[in-house]
Amino acid sequence: MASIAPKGKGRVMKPHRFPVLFVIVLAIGALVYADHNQTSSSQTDTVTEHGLMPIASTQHAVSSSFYCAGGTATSNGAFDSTIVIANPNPGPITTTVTVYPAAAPGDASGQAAVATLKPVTKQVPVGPRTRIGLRLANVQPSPYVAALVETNDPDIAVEHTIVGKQGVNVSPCASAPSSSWYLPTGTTTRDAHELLAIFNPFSADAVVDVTYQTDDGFRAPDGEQGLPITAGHLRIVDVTADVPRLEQLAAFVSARSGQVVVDRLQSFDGSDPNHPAGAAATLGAPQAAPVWTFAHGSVSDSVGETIALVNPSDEQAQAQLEVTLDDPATNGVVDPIPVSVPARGYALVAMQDQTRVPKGIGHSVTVRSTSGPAVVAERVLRAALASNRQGYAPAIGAPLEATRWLFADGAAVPNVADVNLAVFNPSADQSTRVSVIAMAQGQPVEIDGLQNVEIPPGGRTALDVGQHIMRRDLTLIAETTLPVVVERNFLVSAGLSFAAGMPMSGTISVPARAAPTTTTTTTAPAPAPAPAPAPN
Amino acid sequence: MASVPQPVAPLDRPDETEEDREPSVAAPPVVAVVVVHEPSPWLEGCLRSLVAQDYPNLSLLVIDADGVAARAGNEGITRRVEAVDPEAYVRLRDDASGFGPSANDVLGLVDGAAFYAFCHDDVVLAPAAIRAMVEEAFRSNAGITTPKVVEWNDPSRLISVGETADKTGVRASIVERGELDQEQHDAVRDVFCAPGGCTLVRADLFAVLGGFDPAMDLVGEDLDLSWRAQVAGARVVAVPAAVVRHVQASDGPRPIANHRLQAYRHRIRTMLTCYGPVNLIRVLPQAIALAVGSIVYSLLTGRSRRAGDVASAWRWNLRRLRDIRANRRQLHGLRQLPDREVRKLQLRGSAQLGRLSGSQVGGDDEALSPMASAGRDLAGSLRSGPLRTAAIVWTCVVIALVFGSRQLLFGHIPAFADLPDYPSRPWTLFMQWSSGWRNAGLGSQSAAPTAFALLGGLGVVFFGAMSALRKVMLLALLPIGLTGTWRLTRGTGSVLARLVALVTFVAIPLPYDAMARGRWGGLVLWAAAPWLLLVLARRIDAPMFDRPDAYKRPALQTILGLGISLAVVSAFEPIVLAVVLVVAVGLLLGGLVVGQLRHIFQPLAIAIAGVAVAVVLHVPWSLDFLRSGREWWAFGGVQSGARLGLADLMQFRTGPIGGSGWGWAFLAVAALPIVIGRDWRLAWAARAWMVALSCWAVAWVGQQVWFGRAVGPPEAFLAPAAAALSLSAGLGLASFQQDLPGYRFGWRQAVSLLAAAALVVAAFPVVIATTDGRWRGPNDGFDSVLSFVNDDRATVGPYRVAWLGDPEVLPLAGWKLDDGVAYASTDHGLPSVENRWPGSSNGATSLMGTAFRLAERRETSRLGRLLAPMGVRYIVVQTAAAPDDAPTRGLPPAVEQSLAEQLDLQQVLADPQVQVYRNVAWAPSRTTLSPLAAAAATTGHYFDVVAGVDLTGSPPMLTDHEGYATASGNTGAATNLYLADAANSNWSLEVDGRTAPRSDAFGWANLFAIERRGSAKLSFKTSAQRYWLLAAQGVLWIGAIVLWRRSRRKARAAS
Repeated sequence: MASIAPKGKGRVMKPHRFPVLFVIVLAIGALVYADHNQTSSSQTDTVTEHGLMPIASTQHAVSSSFYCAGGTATSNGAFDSTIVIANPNPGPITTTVTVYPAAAPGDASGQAAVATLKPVTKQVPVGPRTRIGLRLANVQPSPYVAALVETNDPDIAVEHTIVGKQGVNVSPCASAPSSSWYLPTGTTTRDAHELLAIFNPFSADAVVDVTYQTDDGFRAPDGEQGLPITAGHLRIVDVTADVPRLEQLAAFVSARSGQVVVDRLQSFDGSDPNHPAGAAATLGAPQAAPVWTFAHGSVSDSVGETIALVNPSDEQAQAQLEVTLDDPATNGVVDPIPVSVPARGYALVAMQDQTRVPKGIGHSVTVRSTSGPAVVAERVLRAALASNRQGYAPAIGAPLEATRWLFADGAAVPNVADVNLAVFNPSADQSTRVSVIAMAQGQPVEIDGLQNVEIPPGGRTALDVGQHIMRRDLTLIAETTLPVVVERNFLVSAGLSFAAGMPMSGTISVPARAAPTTTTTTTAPAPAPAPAPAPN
Repeated sequence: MASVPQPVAPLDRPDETEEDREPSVAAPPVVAVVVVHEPSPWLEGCLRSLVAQDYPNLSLLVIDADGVAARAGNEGITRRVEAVDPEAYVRLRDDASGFGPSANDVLGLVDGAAFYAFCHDDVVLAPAAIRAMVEEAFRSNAGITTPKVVEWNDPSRLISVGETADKTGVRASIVERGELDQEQHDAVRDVFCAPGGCTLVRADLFAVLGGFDPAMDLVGEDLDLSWRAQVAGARVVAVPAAVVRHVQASDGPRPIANHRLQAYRHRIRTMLTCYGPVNLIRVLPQAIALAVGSIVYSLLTGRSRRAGDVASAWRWNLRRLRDIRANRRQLHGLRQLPDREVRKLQLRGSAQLGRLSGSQVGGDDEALSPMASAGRDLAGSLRSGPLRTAAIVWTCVVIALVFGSRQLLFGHIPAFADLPDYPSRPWTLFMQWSSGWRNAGLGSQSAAPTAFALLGGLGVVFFGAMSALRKVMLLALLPIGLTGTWRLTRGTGSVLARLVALVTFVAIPLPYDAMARGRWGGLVLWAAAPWLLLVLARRIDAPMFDRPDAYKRPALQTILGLGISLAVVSAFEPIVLAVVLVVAVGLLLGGLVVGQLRHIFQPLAIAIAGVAVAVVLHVPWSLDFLRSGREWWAFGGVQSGARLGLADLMQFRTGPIGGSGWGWAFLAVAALPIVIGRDWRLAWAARAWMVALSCWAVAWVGQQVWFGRAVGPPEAFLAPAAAALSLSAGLGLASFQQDLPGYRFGWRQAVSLLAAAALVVAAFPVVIATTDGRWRGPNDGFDSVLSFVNDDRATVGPYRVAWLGDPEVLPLAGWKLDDGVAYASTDHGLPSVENRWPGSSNGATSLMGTAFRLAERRETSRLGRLLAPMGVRYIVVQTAAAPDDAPTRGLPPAVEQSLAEQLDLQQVLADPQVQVYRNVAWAPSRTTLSPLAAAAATTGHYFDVVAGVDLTGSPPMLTDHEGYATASGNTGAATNLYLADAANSNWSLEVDGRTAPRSDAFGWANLFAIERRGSAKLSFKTSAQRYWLLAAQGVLWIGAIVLWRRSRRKARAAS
């Protein structure tokens, strides 16, 4: 065996084993320690944030789009559609509105007629700090229409208002498409008519599956599986025809390919005493979220409030409804209502049946997933008051919080229209202040009496805007010092409409899944019955 | 000066009497021609043996081949000859020449001879030798006869009894040199070659053949003569009855300068001369292949001079093609036998390869080939136990690698990830290298990577066979890495230790994972790692690397050698410049740990200097990394979204080979010397571990989100760690051999056995992985799936393709868009090797990234419109490197969703692993702008402007393109030609010879105002400065190589 000897180099120091071992073990230990203590990325997922609900176009946007999927554009349509574009910027903007026609399902002649129509594009200028309404029937008369609103400016909000014989509804248009849409509530009883407006504004065809979850299980009508939605087209699905005579159903629209926007068009003719007449066009929820907030809530003998929770996953979800009463010092605190939502199913919570929810006291509801998958929550208010304030008002909850909320449409005219804002402060330990600004004749107007209104931690307040300002075109911005959820209650003579506003970019935050630490007490005694107020 | 006696023909001696003539009547006259080179102490012996021949009609002609210059000191030749045989004739040549040209003098000097017996001056013939050969010549009707040649000092040992040669002229002895003569070869037989020393040639044949080839002064003239004689129909016969003792002075006391080179030259010349056209076409490629193999092998084993000799020999012959053609014509006139008859006596197969396999062949030419030398080493090694083991292990390793790579070796290597296709012509790469315009991204005026020149040069060497080059560039890395490990562990002095290190290095799955994942750059670094470690470790003046038989390398030589090597490797993977520094730091830390401070900073100093040399050699490309706007991505790449944890790194788990847990076994193997080693074995094991730990630490940092940058492919720092662990494993075996006997029997023996078992276990996954023949790499890339992105170029005009994906799966290098997401672009459809070097995105290209980020942040719903002025027609999103290649690397939802919801992107391919969007708002990259768009192009911020400009339907312009920086076509009058390349005043458009004015468009592109219709030519004018810089770069490379060689030569001479 050959051997290389040190060749007598006395200067070469002989190594010692233990220092070597010590250093190697120490180095490996240090690496292991560092590996176990590495920081993970906490990057905000902007898609999750922006895709949860409609938001105003972002501040640095070079182009943004809003998709108003459902409505009619005929003289006597049940969902006569008007889009409202609000420009809170100090300069004028120009938007491009493209209106896509569609025919009623099963209407062969209508289909043929619509086939000859093409989308109509219209340049719509909007002055500084003002809004403009565009009735789609004036652009492209058609049995049904969808609108694509494009702009190259930031902070724009677009809502669409539908007006029909049965009621009025104002809600934000989608600011992003999605490959999935969830609509937790729906009714196809004899007095009801439900449609889904599936809008594909893109240049590639989409293929969708429409399924329903009902009391008696899962339904997937053959004709609505692999349903092609041609590029640049709107398609109306008649849910009433596909799954008739159901008091409650949840609709899921899932795209096999492509992206779509889905609105639910729901109307009641008032012939059923359980269903006051009403109409609404409601944008679906594109994805489940751990927390949904409804800033407004009210139950009374004539106002029913039902919260539907949908679980689109294959795993059972556990959630709780956290009810915050107005003036908790007086009205007390309500224990959370636990709800179990089956996999790919839904759960309904009728708030008026909950003894722990006092009637006649305004409240907010936070739906929070406590374990398991996230859910989608929608609230339906049905008011059957003797006054003209009656109707049907569904609203998807707000999965986000923000410090600025923009409400494009609205009006405050005595005896005709009224706007209320309900503000919920989800912070467990910090109060916030809210100020409401109206855009009037190109100027921002701070509404007297609605400036720096304090909302205690975990508290809620309702601001009756109509008591402070009167305008036919009332575009509002609610600003707060902490992220909150703001919901608008729009009451008109023909009905009522509830919807969260559009949070403005840069002010958005995703609520924590874990509930804020609070001391839960026993349910406070219900206050003495008070005259049932109108839903506000 | 003594008078020069005039030569006289031996048969015309004036004083001859009738009696004298009488014997010649019975015996044909033979002239013994002795060619003398000084010094020749054996001359008298040679002459006496000739005088003592029993052949009756023998004359003696002595030719002094040293010429006038040497004669002054060699006046004694004539006297020495006269002293032995006064009747002998001495021919003193006017010039120094070799054996062949000198021997040819006999044609002019002698008349009437029947045979010539050409003799060296260092032979002694047995008394009956000439007679026996003449008799056999008549008996066998042979043209040439050759005796049995035996050793000078021991006539019982054979040197040759004739020789043979293979098809390329590589000679092989029929007998084993030094073989004991037991009359086992005493049968007369035909041979292919009569080796020099003593050869009897029929005089008329010699005259017809024109004698020896005058171009062959020394070495190889005997083979040439024999071959030509056989072509002319003469037999070459070995006559064992004729015995000749031979000193073989050229192999010992009187060496021939450049013997190896001359032999190689003359062998090629003989081959080129003697074959007919058909056989030459058949054999020549094989000879070239062998030559290339020989060069590669020589380079791999560090025998660059041998490689140079091979190359030089071919050059020498190429310069003499005219001469060779003349010889071929002459021989063609004499041809009596076809090549198939001549070849019957040739050796089957290749003598060179035969030697490698240990066959019993050998001969003069053996020293010519490094393979032959290796073969000799191998054959010798088989005599001893460890070396036999070495042969077996090496054979197993090679077989395993060839078997495991067989699909890659003999089949198709798909283009995927960092294994892109090469351009069809090397010229393309040269053009890119020499141009001042780089087309990466949206283009920029910057230097091209040096790799373009290197690959182009290799492409030329491969005669333009770029796909073959691609294969070699991949698979040749395996033997380079293994050879490096073998050399790295030479200092252990134990063959078994070297084998353990080799097997450990082979068993670590890094290279196979790199191939499976298409990380060619990682494989390059793997192959380079042991060499880097070796170069740096040598600088530490400590036992193991201070072998007494190694010459002392001066620092300059090491720096230059390292610098040139780093320059070559960094041309393909720049991160190696950081790797070498980390390795040096690891050695430094190791020195501190073991307390051996002598020369402790040398490796680091050498590494820094080497890096500096490499940086200088890459000027002007390296300037891109230094100037403002530099980006890390160009140096270290973009971080992958799939990050490796510390456990993965320490187990070298970077791909599909090597499951969880297996990799820990390598650490166990490498830990052995730390536990049982002593002295230098422990010291070097500690250094190796510190190198490995340093590399792991840096590799770990490169995987961290907070670092935000990749540090090259995973192999970049894991390869030196693997090499270091392999060294440590080898040291473990050395410790086992040398240190363990010093311990009492106990746990150390058990630990050693465990380490051995661990090595077996660790090698298991790689052995299993050999079964599929491509190291679990994909069978195909996406090129056929994505071919359509290139197909409509002809119909719709020029456009770009933007690429998005995890950098690990993208088939080209790009710039960081997001964590784990890179973007890149190609302007010729599918990417090729040209797209491996992204350069800096600083400038126009960054706009593309900004556009994608706008979409990601939901700040645009018309991304297509933002990309249209960039000429982007397709966006390809890859989530896997190849079809069905697991695992997939999905884009972050933000990016994926942002593309899906763009109003002007149309998804045209929705494969789960690759999605393609067509930009419906696209515009060709050379188009005309409407007046409105042209006006908009001159104002405002890019994104603000293009958001409102619709370029849909813009017509293509200048659709004929040559290369990537020149295009031509017809233009209309009063049009605006828009060029979607970064704005630069060197872009020039000439319409019918008139230069169209250029202006910036959209703040970054080019707009040419064309007034009248005509034929237009667009081109980028490369500045003279660029050419000067390239020339300077060439000078720098040549200077560095020359300096390095000179330094090396000096050091060797000094030692």
